[in-house]
Amino acid sequence: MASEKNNTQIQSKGGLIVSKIFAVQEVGILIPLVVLVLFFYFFNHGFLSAPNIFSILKVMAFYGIVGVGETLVILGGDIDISVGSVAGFGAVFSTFLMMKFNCFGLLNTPYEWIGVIGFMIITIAVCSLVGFLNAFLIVDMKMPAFIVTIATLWAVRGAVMVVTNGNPIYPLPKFFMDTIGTNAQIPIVKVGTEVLGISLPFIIFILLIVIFEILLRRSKFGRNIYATGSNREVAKLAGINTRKVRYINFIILSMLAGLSGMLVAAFTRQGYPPIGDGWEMMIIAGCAIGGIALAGGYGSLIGTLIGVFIMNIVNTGLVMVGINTFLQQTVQGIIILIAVYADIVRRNRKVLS
Amino acid sequence: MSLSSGFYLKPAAKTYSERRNMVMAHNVLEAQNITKDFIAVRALNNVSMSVKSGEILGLIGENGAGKSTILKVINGIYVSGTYEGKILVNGEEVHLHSPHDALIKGIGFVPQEINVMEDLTVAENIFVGHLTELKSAFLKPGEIEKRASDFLKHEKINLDVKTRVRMLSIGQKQLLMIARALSWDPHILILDEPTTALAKDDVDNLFKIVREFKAGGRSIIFVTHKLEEIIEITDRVVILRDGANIATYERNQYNENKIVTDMVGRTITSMYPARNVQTGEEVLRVENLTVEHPKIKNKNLIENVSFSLKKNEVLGLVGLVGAGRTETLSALFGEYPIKSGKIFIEGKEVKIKNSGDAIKNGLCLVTEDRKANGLLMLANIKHNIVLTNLKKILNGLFINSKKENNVATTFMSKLSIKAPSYDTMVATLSGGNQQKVVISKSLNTDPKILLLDEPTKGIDVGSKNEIYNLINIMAGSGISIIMVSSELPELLAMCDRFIILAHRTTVGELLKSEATQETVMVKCFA
Repeated sequence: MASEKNNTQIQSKGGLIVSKIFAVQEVGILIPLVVLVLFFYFFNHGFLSAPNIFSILKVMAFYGIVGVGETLVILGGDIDISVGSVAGFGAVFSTFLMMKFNCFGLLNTPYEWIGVIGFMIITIAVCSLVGFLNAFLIVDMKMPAFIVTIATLWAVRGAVMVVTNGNPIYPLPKFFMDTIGTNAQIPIVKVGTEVLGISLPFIIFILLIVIFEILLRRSKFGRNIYATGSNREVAKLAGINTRKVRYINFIILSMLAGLSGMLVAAFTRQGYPPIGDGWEMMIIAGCAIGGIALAGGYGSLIGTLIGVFIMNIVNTGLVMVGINTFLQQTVQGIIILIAVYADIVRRNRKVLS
Repeated sequence: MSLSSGFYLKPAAKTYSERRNMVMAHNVLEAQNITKDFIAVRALNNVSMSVKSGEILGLIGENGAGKSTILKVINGIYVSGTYEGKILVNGEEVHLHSPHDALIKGIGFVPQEINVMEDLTVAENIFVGHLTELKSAFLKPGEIEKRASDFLKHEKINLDVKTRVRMLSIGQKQLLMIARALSWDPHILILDEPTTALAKDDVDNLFKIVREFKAGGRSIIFVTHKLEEIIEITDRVVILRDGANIATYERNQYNENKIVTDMVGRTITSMYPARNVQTGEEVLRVENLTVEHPKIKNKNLIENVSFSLKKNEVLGLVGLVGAGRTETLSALFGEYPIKSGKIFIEGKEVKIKNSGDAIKNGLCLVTEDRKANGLLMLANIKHNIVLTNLKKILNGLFINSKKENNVATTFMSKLSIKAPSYDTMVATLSGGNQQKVVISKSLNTDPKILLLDEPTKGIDVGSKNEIYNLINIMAGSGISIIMVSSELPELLAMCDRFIILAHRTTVGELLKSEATQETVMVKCFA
């Protein structure tokens, strides 16, 4: 009897140490990341080849840039489903304007970049209006975020089709395709004739992570977001303008979504209307896997970084392992479920400890 | 009387009349040597208690004494087998696996937190869980309303069955929860701090229902923090402290001091500490403040509320629930748009449109409901305290962790918040310590005027005493305080002056020297 008791005590002590390590959010998420990488490497050694690694880093950046904004919105206690369409809108609207107005008449001149950058800024401004509209409907009209952004998801996708008639926009300005797209990278290795490196979107992504992570942890802006997301009433009573906080979150997210869409257009060398299709699920799933509490108020951008990374590894890995294309979506769905369940388990443990 | 409608659930252990014939004063419920462990914590250590038939048993103890844990064991929330010891109902050992099991064994439980379906009617709320007893799969229109209203009449509970629960007051919701428990025809009813949210008249009403219930030979376990209630209503009291039995007193052995000493484990010389502070000049004057009801047309939340507050003064807002006490505080804090009336702070008229304005003008609010709008429960102590005044800890654009930690440390020692460190999550603190964090949050804005809404709600005697001392210290340091409390003795002892509210407006004023329970109540009902 006595020895039995001792045993349980020792076990529970061990349990405590393990749970302490796991209480550090990011440690918990790193483990599945490593497991997945090893898993895919085991079945296809090409998974850890340089071209594949750099390709994953490039693609994940497109999602990640939006993921940064989505993290802010979710931390603030809201959700935005419309990001994919806004990204698509950014891609076609910017390229449409560039070609329609010949980059302020500077197309194919050395000053082409003025037009390209100019229209990119205009596009980001227009995208911010979508965020503003979302925020207005959700914050001031008090409509549920989920439904509002599903509505804007459809409406904006419709606008994309109207602008393009469903046809891709090309050719695009050289500056846009080369300088912002393919050529903008920090070269790392040379494989055959191809130079591989860190792409511009990935640099932007990491910069955004660093800037916003510092803001979230160490600035009034960040603290206000956490407070608003964890309990809006408490935040209001503490004198925080929660309305402003939520507006800013939605607007930042739409701007980042538009930017990401434009970067995809630059890399694919065309304003392709379906850009952004289905992104919302990839991105929200990435946040959930990264430990962002979907109820708001808890999580960090490091988590989002890892979460988006995992989603992309799975995407690429499943292709490389040669799993049936149709089955891939099912696997992704299962991974999302596991992530959300882990979120719930984690939150329960938090309350008990 | 038996109900022809067959409303009561069939499996209830024995029918009402059968029980009446049973020998009086046997143990209907016994908990024997219960020991319950959580990881690293022993919540209950060999606790035993019993309830006799036709008895009101008081269960009393500070927060963390193990009251909730033993209730959860008795109620089947902690499943049989996860603790050591036995539960006996009518002398037979039972193994409870859910609250529903407990209901079937005749144990009804009314939890402390209001727990109702806001958008359903009173009748539908009562009928939840009984729908399977109906003969047909479909409801006849009006059927459940009729049965529910018959049932309420029989139990002498005054509630309109067709009302949407959202429209009920907190007191009425509490009654509804009791009605819902009674609908299962329990022979033991557990009430967990049922009076926390109730005003005096609601409490009297509740006591009437409790005595009625007891008169039928049934038993009640009554959990409370309030000594007066124990003395008034219970037949026997069991005192727990630190998860162990401390004492059991029969009615004729009751002694307030002894009970308090047993509960706290130390002697509290005076529950309400004295204060020697001269009140100064007028700090706040409210003139004819009127605020519209945010949801109901052509109705005002408060009308023509007028009063003044002096420096260093503790002013009590007295009134029944629904008299507009909390609403007055919220209106001062900018939660509702002001329809008419003026607010003067230190002689200057101010416009308060939101809580930001209020804080700028030196006001601060300690809300009644810590969980709903007092604390970020999953954040740590430090982040909660600094939240109200982030400017104070900013270094340029960024938060200076040294300043932040300093602020937290200062308040933790000043208010003696007991926690391992400022990184402790507030959800894990006791009610009293949570309340101190809420007050720290308010004090961090350096307020001139502190609005306290039920500052001692749901906290134990020891912590209450600390909060009273704190109120005195704050008043002594130049802060003026407006205090709302449903506990009249506490208000009478702590305040310098009283403003009486009734029907959402100010109806009178009493000085400390004039105020007694009687004079105050007379004015409230006038």
